[in-house]
Amino acid sequence: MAPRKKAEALFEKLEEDAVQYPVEYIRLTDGKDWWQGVLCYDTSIPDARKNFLIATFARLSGHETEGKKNSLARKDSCQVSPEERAQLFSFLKSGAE
Amino acid sequence: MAQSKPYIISFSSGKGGVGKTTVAVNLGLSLSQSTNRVLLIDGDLGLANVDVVLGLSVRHTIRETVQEGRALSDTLIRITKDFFVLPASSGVPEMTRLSVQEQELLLGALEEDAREFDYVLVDTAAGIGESVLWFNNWVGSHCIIFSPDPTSLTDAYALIKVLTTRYGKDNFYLIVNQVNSGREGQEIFVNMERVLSQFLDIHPQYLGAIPRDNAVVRAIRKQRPFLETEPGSKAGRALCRVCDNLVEALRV
Repeated sequence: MAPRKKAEALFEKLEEDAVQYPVEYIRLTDGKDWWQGVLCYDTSIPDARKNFLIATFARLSGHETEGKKNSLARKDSCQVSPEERAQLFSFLKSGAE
Repeated sequence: MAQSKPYIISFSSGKGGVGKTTVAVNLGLSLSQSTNRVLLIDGDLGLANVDVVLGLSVRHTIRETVQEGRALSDTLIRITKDFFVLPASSGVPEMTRLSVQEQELLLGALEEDAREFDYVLVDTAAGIGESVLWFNNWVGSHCIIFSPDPTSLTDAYALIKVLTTRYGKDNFYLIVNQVNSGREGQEIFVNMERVLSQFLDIHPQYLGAIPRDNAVVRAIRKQRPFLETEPGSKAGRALCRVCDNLVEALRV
């Protein structure tokens, strides 16, 4: 099965299994890492829901979702860091001096 | 690498209120004045604004294509000889959370209609919600519009980071809006470019800056493009330079 179709099939199954926890998701990519973006949620997601999704996703995809090599870590990796912010604002501060 | 027509370009900002829709509308008009056929899609599916900026009275929207199967070509509104708009609905929350099947249906219909145009511009919603991401995933080029406001800088950077990290996107064009001078715009771009390069290894192209200008305010109140009401204004001239730069950047 093509990666994208495989991802979509996985997601449909995930949705079926998550009846009482509507899954937030984004359009799947055609990239090598085909399952990226399947799980997409804000860091403010309640722990109970997050744990449910992690477990379901791991069961259906076969991907371990603990540690840094999971989609949750990927989601967190999009967070703008304090270092990035400091650099973004450095121009404004130097301009104000 | 040169892209092929139709050029499909998103207009996103991260933060709302930075003039994204106004810039997209005026750029669409400017592109069409060079005998290009231009389609502007209102990608803010639940809270549309393009029709407001253009003072349009809209009967049919993208919603009817998604929910009732109406042909997109029957929904197009002709603004000028070569400038068309595809309006979206306002106050329809379900349109902001389309299913994968609905997204496929809509994008398939858009791809069909896009062939009739030289440029297809997608004015997305603000933020990094679902529709912003899947519209951006669909297009090949991304215009990111932001202002000198620190919150706008942060949100634009965050949006680029998400598109880069999650979708592998790297084709970004930056427009700095509402600047006090061209020099300010240039300095803000240089700073943004440095941060994007350092942390994300992204090298965006600079399309230019558009100054604060009362001509823009007056045009918005008239619900007309400022390029039409006051083409010789500071903002109008800057917009034309941005348009030229966009055409050149897409061609090269």
